Amino acid sequence: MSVVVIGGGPAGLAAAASLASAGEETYLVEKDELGGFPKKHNFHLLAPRLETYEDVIQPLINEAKSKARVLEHAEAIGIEKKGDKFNIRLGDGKVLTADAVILASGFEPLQPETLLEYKAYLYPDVIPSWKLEEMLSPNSPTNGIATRPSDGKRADEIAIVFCAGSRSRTLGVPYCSFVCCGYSCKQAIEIKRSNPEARVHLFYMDIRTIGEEENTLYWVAQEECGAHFVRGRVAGLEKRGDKLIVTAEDTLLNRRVELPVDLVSLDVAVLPSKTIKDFAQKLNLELTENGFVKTSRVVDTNIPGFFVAGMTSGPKLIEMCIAEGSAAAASVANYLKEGKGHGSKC
Amino acid sequence: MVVNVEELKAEWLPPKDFTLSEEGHDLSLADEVRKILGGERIDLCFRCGTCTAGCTTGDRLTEYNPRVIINMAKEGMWNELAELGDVIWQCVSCNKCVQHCPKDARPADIVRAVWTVIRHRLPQETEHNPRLVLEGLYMGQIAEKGRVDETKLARDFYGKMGRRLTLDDMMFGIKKVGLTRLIRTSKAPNWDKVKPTVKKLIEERGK
Repeated sequence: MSVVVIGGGPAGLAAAASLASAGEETYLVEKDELGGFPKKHNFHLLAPRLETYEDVIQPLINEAKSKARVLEHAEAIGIEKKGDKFNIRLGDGKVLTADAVILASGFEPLQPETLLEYKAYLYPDVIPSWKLEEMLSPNSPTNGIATRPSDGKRADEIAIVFCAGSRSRTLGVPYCSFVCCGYSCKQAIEIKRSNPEARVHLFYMDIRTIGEEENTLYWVAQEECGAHFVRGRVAGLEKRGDKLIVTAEDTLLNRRVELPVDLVSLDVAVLPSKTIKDFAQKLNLELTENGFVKTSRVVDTNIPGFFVAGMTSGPKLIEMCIAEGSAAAASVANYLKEGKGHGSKC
Repeated sequence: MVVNVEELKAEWLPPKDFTLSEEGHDLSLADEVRKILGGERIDLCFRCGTCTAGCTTGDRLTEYNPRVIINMAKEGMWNELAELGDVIWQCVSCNKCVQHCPKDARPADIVRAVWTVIRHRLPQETEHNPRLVLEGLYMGQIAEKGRVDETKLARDFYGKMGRRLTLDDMMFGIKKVGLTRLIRTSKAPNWDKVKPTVKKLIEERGK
């Protein structure tokens, strides 16, 4: 019995590590290198618990590497189901045959340039949030200090724009990206701690710091780090002299504000990965109206033997992705033991 | 048909000045508020509006909105706060907001700190300014008796402002303050011993 896990991010790593530990023959297919989005963008502190990448994701990589058969720089470009078996075709022409598949292909961030009103296509100091995250890692080229890409100067006034693309019917992203409120507050805390001179202005419609994020991230940013929260969606941005002027309505004070800043970070929306659409056509996989995989009981899909974990079924926190990876592993083990076709009906 | 031309007259208002300076929003006001006892809690407010919803003063005076006053101070809106110069001081210190506040920010204390900061920045006030009249009467009573006679205060205040105390006012007073406090007019015990010191303090405060 063999299982193929597609995607080596937090969810895929957890799934592969759990399955391999349970004694299943597990293949982990990753198109770049293990660690997923957090690895690609040099994450350091992870929201919401402020644990480090080294403490949370590196151990999963080590475990997966030691127990599962890891194929890095190998992209799953095709899939077909023949009887009870899945054939997964890789970029190099190799074909893996599996009794069960876990798709953990993650997400795509919305490209900031597509948000025309924020002019990221024009100004290098308008960056997507993952670029700010890269900068805030202590081992970054800027030593953890937020700086302006245009001239390398330290950014003392920083605007963080929530819901950049999310919650927009116009852009076809009507859902909430779930992770941004938490990591934005975390970034505000990190900015203040790495540069006490800095002031962070956060433009939001609602603060959705769920669960314990409320007082461990939102309140800390507001009370201890003096973060400046403005309730209002940013309408536009222009350059005046050395500064970028952010325009929004402060809806709590009924007035327009124009705020001059050095750096603008956009909390770009979480979009379904391209793999999902591709696989959905090949397998008749059911999707939600937003293009994520439709699930029942968290990790099951409408295809017996085909499971999902992590952002494949919608935006969620890293720790939730890891939990779903393990949950998918347990469901696969159950599926292989109980016999095919059981427990996987939508 | 007769058209009243006066009613049709309209003028384009000039665009409202943005209150944020080129350097960013003005933090100096909030910094000054933080220095005053109670004002250091200004960053605790997350602007839920519970203080305003339960406010005794706001119930009678819609311009009195503690959430907005705290918010304006944080944003450095000096001019807008100055426009509320005859409103902010009217907090009756019932402390309902202190009890209601989910963030334990003590809104009444923050508003008092904001008032302490901005009162010195208000434009020159005339002697008929209601706030100064009331404050003078209030402090005068404190200096004389060490206590405030609410009925006398209201009667004297309305007298000076050219208005009579009505039965409705009396009923409101009884409802909000209680009959016993309204009729208590005696001096505080041993008041004559501390009177000179208090008078001196009040005089110094006025300067």
